[in-house]
Amino acid sequence: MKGYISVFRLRVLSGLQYRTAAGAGILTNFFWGAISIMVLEAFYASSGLAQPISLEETAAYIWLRQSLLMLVVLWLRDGEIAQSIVTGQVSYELTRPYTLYSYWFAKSLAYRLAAGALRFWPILLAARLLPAPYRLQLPPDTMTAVLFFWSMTLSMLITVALAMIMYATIFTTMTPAGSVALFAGISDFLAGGIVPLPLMPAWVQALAYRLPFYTTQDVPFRIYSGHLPYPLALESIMAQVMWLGATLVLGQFLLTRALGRISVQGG
Amino acid sequence: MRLYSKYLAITLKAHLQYPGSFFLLTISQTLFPLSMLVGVHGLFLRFGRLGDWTFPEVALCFGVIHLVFGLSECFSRGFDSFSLLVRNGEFDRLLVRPQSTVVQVLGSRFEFNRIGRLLQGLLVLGWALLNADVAWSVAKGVTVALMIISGYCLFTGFFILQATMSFWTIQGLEVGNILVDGGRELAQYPLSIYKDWVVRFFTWIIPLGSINYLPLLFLLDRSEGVALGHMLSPLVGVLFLIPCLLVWQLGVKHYQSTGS
Repeated sequence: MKGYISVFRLRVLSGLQYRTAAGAGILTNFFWGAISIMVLEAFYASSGLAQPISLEETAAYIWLRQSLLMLVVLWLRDGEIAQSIVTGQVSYELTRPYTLYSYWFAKSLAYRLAAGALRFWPILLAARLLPAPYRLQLPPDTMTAVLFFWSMTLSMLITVALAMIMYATIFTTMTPAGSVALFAGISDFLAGGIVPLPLMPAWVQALAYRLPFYTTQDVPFRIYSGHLPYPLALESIMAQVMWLGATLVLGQFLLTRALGRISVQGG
Repeated sequence: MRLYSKYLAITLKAHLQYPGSFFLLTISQTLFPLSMLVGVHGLFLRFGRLGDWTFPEVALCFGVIHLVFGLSECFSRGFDSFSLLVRNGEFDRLLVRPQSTVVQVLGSRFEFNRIGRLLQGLLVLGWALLNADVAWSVAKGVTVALMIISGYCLFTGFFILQATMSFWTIQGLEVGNILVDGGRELAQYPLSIYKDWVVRFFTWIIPLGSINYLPLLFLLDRSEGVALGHMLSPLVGVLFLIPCLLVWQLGVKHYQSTGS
């Protein structure tokens, strides 16, 4: 365990070096968030009917997504893991005295935390200063904030566990870009990353709420604004714990199986 | 032009050496815009309409943008990844050859798997053209062609500007992505749904509106004032290339090799 913690610490510290890159990323993410809210504002204005989620709650949903992107999207290339599978670098890692799964998990988590830590607060701060309805509201009470914190932590862990499953598939496809894009394209949509899930038609929701992806974005973002009130929030957090367990087990199984069949191509 | 098509043929052959990988990448390229489209459709089911616009009309905007973005990613990707050439000093080699730098940089990279996005854009555009309420005429057909040409030029212009920046910064700058990715995101919808200042900025400073919004008004017979102006507005996107190429020439003059 100590070994993994030091890998984790090392990676966080080195990740924090990339401040300039983060600066430009922040601008892009902020701009993207502002556009999305403008579009949704226009949609809300077009219909007089009451919607399942208010514009303010939607704005919070989008700002949280844009600021915490690094923690919860699968298309992030975290470190050199994908590359090490294709180049065969992974064979070196196998000779070292640790479990590959835990090592990669620590590495990936650290990379995301470092990138996320640099980016999330400027966006949230800026979003707090905007005029309504763009302004990011605070959670309605302390209890909600605490629940959001734990839910977000779980989201991040589930994301890394899902990423591990994705990496295990690269052993078969050998095309990191293809595997990542395929996985990420579907997952982000089903997580509510493109359009908030409560605004989607029933069939999309029915599908999304049966798969693990919604627990990475939809759950914490709705808990934050109070759209998932207290008893429902706890239920959703239980679902997160369950999905975390399931994805961890599946990822370890797939990785072990992939490593059992690995053939190293010289070089 | 002959040189360019030669570059094109070589890269295509190289890509097709790995058909499995090529196919997977092509498919995966369509997923992101496809999920966007499903999202937009879902929003229309929920809200009924977007301001004055119906779903086929928005799909028309959407299709054009993704089509032209796919085109420029396929054929002008060399400029997008240009900062690499500067950083490892390879641009020196291009400079000593007796050919224009623009053609050589264009030829340095093609991304054929973007054909996925391109085809999808084309399909969406086709569907939208059939389903939107358009009274067709020759002039309108010309306008659609102009929209596509103009969009390709505009995004290529963005890529060139982004590339030119790296003469000064050496590193690629993500700031350029605001223009490219942000612009693409923004122009998926008719400009008029945004705030006035956004509309003005993207009509007069960065002529994004000229690719789809302004000519769309003409297609739908909603243009106010001079119809011809709306019809020919895509030409602005083509003209946009001129200042971009001038800035590029300036950048080439300013170029100092990194030496390695």
